[in-house]
Amino acid sequence: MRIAESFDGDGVSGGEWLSTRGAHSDIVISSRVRLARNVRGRRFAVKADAAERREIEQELRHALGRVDFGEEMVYIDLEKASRIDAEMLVERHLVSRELARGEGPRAACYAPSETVCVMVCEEDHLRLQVLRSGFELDAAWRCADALDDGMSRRVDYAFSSRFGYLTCCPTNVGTGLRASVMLHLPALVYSKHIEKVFQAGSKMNLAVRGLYGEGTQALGDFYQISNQVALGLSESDVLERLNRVVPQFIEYERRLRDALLDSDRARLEDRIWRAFGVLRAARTISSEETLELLSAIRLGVNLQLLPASLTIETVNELFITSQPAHLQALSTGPLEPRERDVARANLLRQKLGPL
Amino acid sequence: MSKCQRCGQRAATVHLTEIDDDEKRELHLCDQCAQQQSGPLELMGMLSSAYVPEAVASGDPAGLRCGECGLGYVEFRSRGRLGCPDCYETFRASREQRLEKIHGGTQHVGKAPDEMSAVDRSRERRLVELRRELQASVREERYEDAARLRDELTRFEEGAEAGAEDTDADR
Repeated sequence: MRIAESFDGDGVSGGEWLSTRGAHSDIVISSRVRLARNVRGRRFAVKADAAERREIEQELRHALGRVDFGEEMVYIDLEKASRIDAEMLVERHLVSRELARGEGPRAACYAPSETVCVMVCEEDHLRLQVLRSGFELDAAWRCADALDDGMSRRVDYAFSSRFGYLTCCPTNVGTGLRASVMLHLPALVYSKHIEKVFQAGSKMNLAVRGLYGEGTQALGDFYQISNQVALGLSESDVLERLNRVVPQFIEYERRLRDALLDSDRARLEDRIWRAFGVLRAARTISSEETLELLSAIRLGVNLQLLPASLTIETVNELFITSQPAHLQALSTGPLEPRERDVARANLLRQKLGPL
Repeated sequence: MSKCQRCGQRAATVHLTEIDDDEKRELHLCDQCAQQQSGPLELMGMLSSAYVPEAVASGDPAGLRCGECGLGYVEFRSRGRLGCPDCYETFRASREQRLEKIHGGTQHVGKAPDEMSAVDRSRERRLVELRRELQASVREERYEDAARLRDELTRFEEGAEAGAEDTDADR
């Protein structure tokens, strides 16, 4: 079965978390809870050889098959999957680059609704991830907690009462919890206030990083905020901190959006409409430029500065489908970069309506 | 010159690349903030004379090696990754120091694995054992053994399913 057909919907629309069902979904794209777990008596990925990793993968595959996820899960053996299929999962934020591009026995187990994805034999033996649209960390946590309990009845987790859940990297030990939200912050970027978010995050022991691009660069104005501390705090402490701080970022972005409308409307509209124009007219376009322009029109839709026929769902979907692996999965096969740039432009014109 | 990402006041003079968890990210800090944040920096193996921690009092840590997986202290420090769950005990003394710096605490206060009844756990273990024995017998071409084990496995799995469903229903 091709991965493209494994998702709910027509196979290309983004998962549940790209919908706008969650709270504050104009600014908060999604919330994610990730739990890192390892099997007792087994070496961590960094030390286990391929044979041991194969055994671990098989044991976890069996265990996963017996947990009730609420829907029929898809299990992809990434050692056998094509490069494009693996990259599609990365582009949908279901698995990490490390898992997709790694070597040896490893797998991804996800729900067609794309609300859950379990990574098998990444840095830790098991990484359970739950995603929700909008600002819904508590709901994501409840789900992850329940799934974790289900797994713990079938897998002997490596756990010490002193250090908590034992992980390959000490930054994850303890709760093994990484809670994060993905935010769209174009106004903060336009107003050059985004540095303040980095500083505030740093003071609160929260990691702030751009989603697309290297290091602090953030193409598309997407930022991920996550906790850095996993030990010495309970799971609810971790969530409480994010639940307290993220609304302040949301509020900050909203105020700046209003300020831009008040003080600089013509320039703002110009930026948005130019973006809309280029996306609908270009014959070839890079993914970097696409992300920049899509960010502008996403803001345009939020601020109701663009025709009502353009929906947030369409824009959200394009962030995913305009990426390299998705373009190739939708066409007849692998494409050279230049061919991809043309295919991307075709897709954009088709979805946004040509000029 | 850019400003420190932490205090926003002093110039950033320390530029680091952190390889953490899923991604690589860059930190730009001033001297003072870099000192305060020395925990994670050490962990990432970015050793410089300013940030090397005090030597662990109990003997030569560089000589430590985990009995289970063979990870040596030096390898651990350079990669920032542990080799197996037992490493946490092996390197306990220096672990606690580091963890204190990264997390500000070294005692886990979060949830623990769901308490399984002794019967459930031993059932799960038996299942794993049976599967391994089955794999071994197939590898070694002991097909009669394999057939017997497969049947036992099927019976056991059905029994275990029933047991697991009961447990789920209790929640």
